[in-house]
Amino acid sequence: MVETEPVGIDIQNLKKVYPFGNGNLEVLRNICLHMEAGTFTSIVGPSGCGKSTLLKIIAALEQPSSGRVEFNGKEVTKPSVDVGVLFQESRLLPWYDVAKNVDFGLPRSVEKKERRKRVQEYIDLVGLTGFEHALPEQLSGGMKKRVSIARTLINRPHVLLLDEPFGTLDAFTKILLQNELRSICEKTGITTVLVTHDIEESIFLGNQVVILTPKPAYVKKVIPIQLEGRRNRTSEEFTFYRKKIFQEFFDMNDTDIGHYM
Amino acid sequence: MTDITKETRVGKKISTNTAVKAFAVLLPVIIILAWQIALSTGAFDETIVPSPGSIIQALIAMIQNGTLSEYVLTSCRRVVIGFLIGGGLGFAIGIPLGLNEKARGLTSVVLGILQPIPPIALVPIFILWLGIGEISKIAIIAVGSFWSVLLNTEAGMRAADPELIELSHVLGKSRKEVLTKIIFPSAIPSIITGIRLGFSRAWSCVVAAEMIAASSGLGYLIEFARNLSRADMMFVGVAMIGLIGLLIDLGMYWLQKKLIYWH
Repeated sequence: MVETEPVGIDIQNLKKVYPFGNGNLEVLRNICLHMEAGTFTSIVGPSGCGKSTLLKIIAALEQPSSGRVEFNGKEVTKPSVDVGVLFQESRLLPWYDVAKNVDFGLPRSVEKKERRKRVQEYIDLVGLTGFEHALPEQLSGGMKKRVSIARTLINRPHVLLLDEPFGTLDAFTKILLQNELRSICEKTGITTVLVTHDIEESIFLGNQVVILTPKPAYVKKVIPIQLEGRRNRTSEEFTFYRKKIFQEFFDMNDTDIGHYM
Repeated sequence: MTDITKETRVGKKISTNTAVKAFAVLLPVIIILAWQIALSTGAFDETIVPSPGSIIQALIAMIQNGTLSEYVLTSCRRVVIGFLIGGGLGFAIGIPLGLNEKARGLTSVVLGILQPIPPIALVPIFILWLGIGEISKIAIIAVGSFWSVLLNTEAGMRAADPELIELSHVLGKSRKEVLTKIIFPSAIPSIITGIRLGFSRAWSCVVAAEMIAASSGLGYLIEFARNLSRADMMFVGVAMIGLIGLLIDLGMYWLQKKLIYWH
């Protein structure tokens, strides 16, 4: 697999306000973040805290009210096929089979022979060999998710943005895909930002965990994750991070954590 | 234990399905028999409620002298041409209306006033403007087809999943690609519904259309039979309209299944 050019992400004083009723709804307040090139950043926060909005702004699907997002020092103004986005829904085109859906991820500039080669490469990568001609309605949720992963990665994006991609999957498929995602990200060294409410997932995948407050969201804490080698979800270190992050949430809600741990 | 239960359940389903289909075909036969029986008891006046037997006799006579096939073909020809014109227009206007909110707003009042007018109400106007030849008949049928196709095409063009549109932005797809790969395929189910409804309407307009001094066709047959007080021939006409309408609908259903292969 070809390594992609590493991209560092900088978020400077990002603010997002929506008109709401008679006034304004402040969703993001002064977000400042730095994501080192080639690293995996997990952003956690309670539901509705604006983390999806933050991701959409990084993807340039929405514009900030003020502040900016920079990739390697250059401001991000519009969506680009070099920035891969994986949504919570698989968002497959129902009238295309698996191969065509994966092919949809490639821009028209890529020529036929290369297309066919890459489509097969990525279908094999996500473990869907043999299902090239299946239609989405014939696939399980996990399989659809794999197709969307292949479609997102096929163009070898420099940045990968994930918006709670595994939220709708069952526990087993989730763990399988998390493992696969982790190995793909490590192999390619692609700069990744994951938004999730699953604390375990954030620790398992991330080099750093960013904790957002509820609306108006700002960065409460950034926790670097230092886990060596294969991450064991039951190891002491893992549990240490889990407790630490849970603590931040319960602090935000003024709850006695002792009851729950 | 599980296998037997499964078999029973599947077996039960098969026999229920066949039973339903068998009954569906049997029901009209039962109705016809009941009709014949009711007539033989003298419950109805034979001159205005013809017996199934006399209807079939009239049908056979018409097949033998070639008038039936002539009438059927004439009506079909008018309906097809009328549908192609009306449906074609509906499709051509529905697409830009579906894509352009401003256009919808600007035309809403005009379309809103014209749409509820039933084709049959336009017969006198069309006679006035277009005479009593083929054109006025085809025009009635065209109006009948137009609205279903227009409204459903317009709705179809707006039916694309916004999540897929957002995806296309992420993937840097051009406006043309979004139209051909997302918007049009999303519109197909609605458009086909429009075509089915439009063709059905076109077919049911044929009587109204052929009241405009026609000399052939199923609508003409009914009117002609009325003038001769031949209730049996009238029923032949009505029954043919119903049967052909059913066939058309079945054909459309098959077309729909073929085109919308992903469901």
